[in-house]
This record gives sequence, C-alpha cells and structure tokens, in this order.
Amino acid sequence: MPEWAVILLICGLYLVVVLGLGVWSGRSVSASVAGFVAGDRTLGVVVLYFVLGASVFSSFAFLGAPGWAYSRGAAAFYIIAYGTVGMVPLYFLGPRARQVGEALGIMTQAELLSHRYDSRMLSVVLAVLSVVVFVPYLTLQMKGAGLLLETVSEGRVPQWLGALGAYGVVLVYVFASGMMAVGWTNTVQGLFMMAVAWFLGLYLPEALHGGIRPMFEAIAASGTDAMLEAPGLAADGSAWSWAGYSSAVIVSAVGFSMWPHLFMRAFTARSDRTLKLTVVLYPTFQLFLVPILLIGFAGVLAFPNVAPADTIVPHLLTQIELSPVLVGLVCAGALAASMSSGDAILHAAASIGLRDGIKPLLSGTMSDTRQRQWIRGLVVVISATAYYFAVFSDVGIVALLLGAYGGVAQIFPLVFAAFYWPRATGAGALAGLLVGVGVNTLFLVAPHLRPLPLHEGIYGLVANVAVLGAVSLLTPPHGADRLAAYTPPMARPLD
Amino acid sequence: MPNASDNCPRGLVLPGLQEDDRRAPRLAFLGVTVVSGLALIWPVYPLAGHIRPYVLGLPFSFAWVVGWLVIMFVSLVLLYRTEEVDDTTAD
Repeated sequence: MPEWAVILLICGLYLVVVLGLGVWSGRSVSASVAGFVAGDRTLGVVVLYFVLGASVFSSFAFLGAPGWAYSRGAAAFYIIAYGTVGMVPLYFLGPRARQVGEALGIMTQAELLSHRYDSRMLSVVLAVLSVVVFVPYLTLQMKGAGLLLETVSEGRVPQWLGALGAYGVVLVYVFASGMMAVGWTNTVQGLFMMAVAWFLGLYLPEALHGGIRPMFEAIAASGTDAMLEAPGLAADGSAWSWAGYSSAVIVSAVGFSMWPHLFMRAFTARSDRTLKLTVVLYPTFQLFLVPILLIGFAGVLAFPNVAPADTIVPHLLTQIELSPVLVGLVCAGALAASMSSGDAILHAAASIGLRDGIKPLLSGTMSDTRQRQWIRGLVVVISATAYYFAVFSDVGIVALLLGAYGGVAQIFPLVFAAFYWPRATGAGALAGLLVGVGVNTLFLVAPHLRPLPLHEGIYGLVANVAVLGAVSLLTPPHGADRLAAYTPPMARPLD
Repeated sequence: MPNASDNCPRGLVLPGLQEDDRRAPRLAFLGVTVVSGLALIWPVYPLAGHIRPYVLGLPFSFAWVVGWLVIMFVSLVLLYRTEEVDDTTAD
C-alpha cells in the first residue's frame, strides 16, 4: 500500500471512531434543552478538563503556534504567558455562575448577564458578538483540517473534500448528541493531541539537532539569536515592542476565560468542586504548548524559508523519515485539535444563537422540543455558512479573528461586576460593552490613531470600565430580589 | 418595599475576602497571581528574557515563562487544598 493510503486510512479510522463515540455518548442524557446544551449539568472533572483544554487548542495549536515559534521565536511564548493567569478568574467566577445557573435554569453566559442586568437587548448584542466571532473561528478550523488532509494525501484529497469529511463527522455528532458528544469526543481528542504533541516535540529536536539544548544553541549561534530573546520578533521580522507584547498578554489573559463557548461550560459542571478542580488542573494541559513550540523551533535551521510559516508542521512531516503509520497518527492528532475546537464552537454558536439571539426576540414561551429543533437547525445552518467561507470565499477572515480577542475581553468587566459590584446596572453594562467593543474595533481598523502602541483591547477596556461605572452610578440600581442570587448570603446588606 | 437604592452598596462586594477563614489564603493566592502576571510582561520580563543560562535545555526566556506556569499550578493546588473541606458538602 502506498504511504499516502496508509496515512489516509489511519485518519479515516480515527474519524469513524470519533463519530461512533460522539453519537453513542448522547444516550446517557435526557432529551431536553438542558441535556443538549449543558449535558444535564452532570459533567465530572475528567471530561470538563478535556472540554476546556481541547476547546482552547484548535488547529492553531498544530499549525499556527509552531508557525509562530518558527518565524517569530520568543514571541510565541506569549501564548503560554497569557494562559498562565488567564484561567484563574474562572476559579472564582465559575462556581458563582454555576450556582446561579442551577437555581434559575441558565445555560449560557449571555442568559446570565441578561438576567443579572435585566436586559434582553444585552443578550441579543452578546449573541450577535458571539456568532460574528464564531463563524470565522469555525471557518479557520475547517480550512486547517482540509489543508492538512490535502497536504498529507499529496493532493489526492482536495481541501473541500477533507474539510467536508472531517466536519461532516462533527456535524453529525453535535446534531445527534449536543454537549455530551462535545464532552466525550474532546476527551479522546485531547488525550490524542497531547500524546502526539509530546512525541513530536521531543522527537524532532532529537532527530534534527541531537537534543533540545543543542537545537537552541545552534539557533543562538546562527545569527538569528535575536529571535530567542524576549519578546521575539513581530510579524514582519523586526523586534516586537515590549508595549505591544505586554498589552497583548494582558488583553488575552483578560479575554481568555470570557470566550462564550468556554464560560458556558461552567453550567455543565456537576458541582462547584468539579469546576474548581478543573481550573486547578488546567495548567497541566497548558504545558502541552511546550512541545508544540519545540516543533516549530526544530524547523528554524533545518528547513529555512518555509512560507507561509503556518505550514511548517505539514512540511516537516513530509520531509523527515517517519513510518507512514506514525505520520497518520500525527495527522489524526492534528485533526483532533481542529475538530475538538470546531465542535465546541459549533455547539456553542447554535445554543447561543437560539437561547440568546432568537428566543428573546420571540414573544411567548418556547417548548423544550421546539428549542432543541431550533438549535439543531442552527447547527446545520452555521456549519454550512462556515463551510461556504472555508471553501468558496476569499474574505480575509484571519484579520477578523485577530480582532476577536479584544472584543471578547470586553465581556470581562460585565461578568466581574455581575458578581462583585451590586451597584452595576443594565444601562451601564450595555453602554460599557458597546463603547468597549466600539473603541476596540476603531483602533483595530485604524491603528495609526492609537495614542500609544498598545493592543486595541486595552483602550476598549479602559473606556468600557469608565462608561460601565459612570452610567451605572447615574441610573437606579436593580432591586434586591434580582441581585440576591448573585450575592452570597453573608455579603448581603442587613435589612 | 424599601427603596432599592437605599440598601444597595456603592462599592465592590468581595465575599470571598470577607470571610475570616478564607481571607489569608485567598489574599496570598491573589498576590501570587498578580506577581506572576507582572513577571511575564514589561518591566519584569525584560530582565529575564535572555538566552542564557539554559534551564533543562530551554533558553532562559522560555524556561522563565514555563516556570511561572508551574508556580501558578502549585499555588492553585495549595489554594484548592485550603478550600476543599468546605466544599465537600456541595458534591
């Protein structure tokens, strides 16, 4: 059998296993909206750990991150830096959100905020913001999967077919089993991608340079030593500025736990303890970025001038002598990275689209069955839209996604104030969010207007907090009965 | 019904820091979080962002970031252990 056939066979087997597991996993939960969106609030530590971990590490982990290390050196450490403190807010905010969610039947971040701030408008704004970010995010995952299969099959599987195969599987299991499919497939995919990353990250420096330290010493001695000095290189190859690096770390750390598809997993946890323990263990998942970056560094001297830098991993795989079985397993691991984020985003986008976007706009109540039908319909529509952009459209989606972190970070002040500032009001929250996103977008599209060379999200956050504070103090506070759920008994003011 | 604005506190309400038995570990943990956040940006990281010495084969700029990730992991474990007892009832 030719090598490409062995590789494709292994990827195909992997897809069949994931499909089976995904569809099978839905049998254990109720046929309700809570079952589909929040897994009946029954997830334990192991599954939740992999859902949070694997949802974060997308095809960016196997394509983009090694590409950063390869072309921008120490700049790639930024990805580890923001994750170091980025998940911490969830340790404190997560259990509070989970308790409110259980008491009031809340399943998404926007539902929580629109209840706390008594504003349907807020929920719709957040739903639009989420979907605007999620569709390009999903599109990139599809493109990544398609590109990978096209490269390793030497063009026999075109990108459109590879993306269709991988995301056909995702569509079927998310449609069939909702949250439980995301949970169980992410567990398998997470284990798989971690194993592959550690294997490649340790094997490649050894095979190409005789070890990790010799590899870095060779890079340092080759005249490209500037790339190993923090904060590394900017996209154009010049030194990255400390202001740019530091503000990017801050904005990303603030936004990290606020991604709607991550935050809403707080509502799937079985207990506060489960959720806290998941956050505690999260850095062990984050460590998997170390071998990922080593893969990129391994290519610096061995294969210079690979362009675009994102293709360094497929390039390495086709250039080094590895058994086709191993290459097949590595490709399946990279597919796992793409699909484990893609499924979480697809599930979140459909759930948020209905619960926060469509439902608040319709009058009257909606039956459980009807909601499930709507969410499943949205799963199909969102998949098709992302697939269209992935295959048929040339719109620059990467730029849109780069701007997303600054936008997502704008949700943080609202969530923080929801639990820790009783005086925050709906008008303040809505105004803060809109101004924050507006300022962020302005400086994103017109970077020359920035007073200092800081990440656009910083300006958004400053404006956001100022407006949230000022408008809240100028508007009457919400009633004590609405706030009661957000303030634990000890902290409530005495009557 | 009392006027809501009368009993709505104007400032931040941080319940985790109001309970005496939780305050010390939580403050210590938040301290470590702030320090590790600052250690990874300007002006602290420039002092550590060099190639030498190598640590476990990694340039110092790389090992520094990984080291703070490990420190955050250890402090999360320690914080969790101080709170574990209270939460067993929630399971």
